[in-house]
Amino acid sequence: MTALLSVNNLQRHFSVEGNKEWLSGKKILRAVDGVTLSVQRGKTLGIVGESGCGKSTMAKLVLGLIPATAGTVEFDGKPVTANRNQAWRAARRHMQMVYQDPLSALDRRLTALAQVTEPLNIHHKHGETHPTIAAQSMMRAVGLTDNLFQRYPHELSGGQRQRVVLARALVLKPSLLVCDEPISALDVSVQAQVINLLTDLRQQMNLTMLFISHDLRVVRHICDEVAVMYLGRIIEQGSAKNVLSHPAHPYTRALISAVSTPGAKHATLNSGRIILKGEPPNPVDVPTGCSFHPRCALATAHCKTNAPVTTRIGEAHTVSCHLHTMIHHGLGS
Amino acid sequence: MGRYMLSRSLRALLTIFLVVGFAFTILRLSGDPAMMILSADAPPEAIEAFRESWGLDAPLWQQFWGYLLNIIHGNFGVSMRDGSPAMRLVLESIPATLALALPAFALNLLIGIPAGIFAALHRNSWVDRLVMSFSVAGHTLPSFVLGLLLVLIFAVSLGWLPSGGYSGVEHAILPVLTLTVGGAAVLARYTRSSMLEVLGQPYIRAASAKGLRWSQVVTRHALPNAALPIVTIAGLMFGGLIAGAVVVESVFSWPGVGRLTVSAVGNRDLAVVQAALLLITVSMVATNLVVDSIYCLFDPRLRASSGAHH
Repeated sequence: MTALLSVNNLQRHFSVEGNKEWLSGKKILRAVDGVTLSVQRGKTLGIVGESGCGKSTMAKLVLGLIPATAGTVEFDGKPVTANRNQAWRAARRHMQMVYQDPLSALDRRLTALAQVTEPLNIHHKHGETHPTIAAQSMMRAVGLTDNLFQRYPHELSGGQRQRVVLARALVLKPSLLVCDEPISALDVSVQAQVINLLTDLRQQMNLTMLFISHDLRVVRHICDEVAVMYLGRIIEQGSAKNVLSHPAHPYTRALISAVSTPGAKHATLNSGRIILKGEPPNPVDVPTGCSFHPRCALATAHCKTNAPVTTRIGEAHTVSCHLHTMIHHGLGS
Repeated sequence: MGRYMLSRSLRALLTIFLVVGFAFTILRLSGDPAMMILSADAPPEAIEAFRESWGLDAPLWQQFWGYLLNIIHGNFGVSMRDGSPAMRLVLESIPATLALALPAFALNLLIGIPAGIFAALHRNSWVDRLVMSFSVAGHTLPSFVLGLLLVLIFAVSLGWLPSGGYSGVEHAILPVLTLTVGGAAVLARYTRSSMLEVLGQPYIRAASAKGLRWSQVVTRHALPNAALPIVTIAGLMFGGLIAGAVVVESVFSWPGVGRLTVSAVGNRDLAVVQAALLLITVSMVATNLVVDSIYCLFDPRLRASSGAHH
């Protein structure tokens, strides 16, 4: 199996104004700070984490919508850059995105059908079928009925809008679909429908997906692999089963314990919920050592000064935490 | 759509009625036309006779009622100065006003909108800052200052253009220029901010991520969505220009509606002021109606709320 998408030591820094004070200088916000991961063809990788941990920046970087500060993204063996030239635009048909808020992702002046037809016209994928016919059949495939085709975005429900966004993304038959919190703006009753639709379409179209979410239950349902992000870094990564059933990083454990799933038992440290201390730290002032140490119940003096390295703790399961480094190399190190 | 326009039209009629009533009352409460026209030291009998002949001695509501009845019959009264029909005086000054308003409006659109779009697309670049500096300057400089400045430079110092009057194209250049600087500046600012707001929307990023050329993203998605506030401002501007550029017409002694209104107010020539105000109100209200119907073209949500649902 080959990796369709591979990301190597990817970084994206933003310079932000300092305090309100004059001449306080610019500071650097490390939204994505050295991420390495790969997604096999036909697999779904989930990226989970709190808001502000750099998930959405990852999505934009992977698609080449914004330039990286350092590191590389390779899609199907070719580097992805943010140079918006002919090749960049042509590559769009292979990688598409589903957005968090479907209403703002749609042009309010265009009918649903026009929104879905547009990508076909851009890429001149006329070929055997007329663009309108192709768009209509894609819209039916995502569960939109014919009476909705001529409606404007404001005349559709949230779930219908997200189906239009999905049809627009899939009508070009891309190989990679990046979903940035695709259901968080939807009603709970509609969320499951959209998730099931995504699962079905993924199989039918052999899609590779990058699924960004903070909803661990959805990630468990849809993803083959999971990467947990904290302050721009991936702190734990592995198969969805391993990471979610046997979380190794204290942060992952806290995330999982926060999910209230009646009846289900998780291998958390204690039976109760783990309450994290404090707010997520500011990505402008990343703590020294392990960036999670100010909120970690298990942090030692060592964690405050030394950054942990990524350690393999099982087949397809890596973690960045001193607890595991010590276990592997002996406590004396 | 039909019901929407009907309710808009009824509201427009109400607006016209309110403006006319307000103007009528204020004009009669703020000064005595008899004193102004006959001068303050005219014999009391003459003043009394003047009031009687113009019906100014009747109670205000009676005067107003008579005025409304006359309007409905197409009678807008006569000038207290020379007895010529008030509406004819106003209508005669419209061509002069249009001679300034139409070129100025066209230039406002042609300069202001592209400048605003350009500034938005090159946000925070030196071009953007340059355009916005000009815009702030044009916005803040009062038209009488700018007009006099232009007269000073081009008429007095250089002697290239006449300083006022109404007889040829060269007379229109300075007043049109004065109107354009302010109008284009306002439009540029609104266009820029409207474009910036739209350009930050996810559907713009989505359009780009579909593989659309940036120029097409701008023309197909950004501009039509940014057009709404621009249409509003342009509509107000057009209504204002039709109403006559009061200040600019006075500075350049241009015989348009604006200058007619100013001199009629000064003379307390009630019928002329009222006729001019009525016309100005109607043109403003008509412009707004046009703007409302243009909205429907740009925004399907308004089409839906207007009752023309599929």
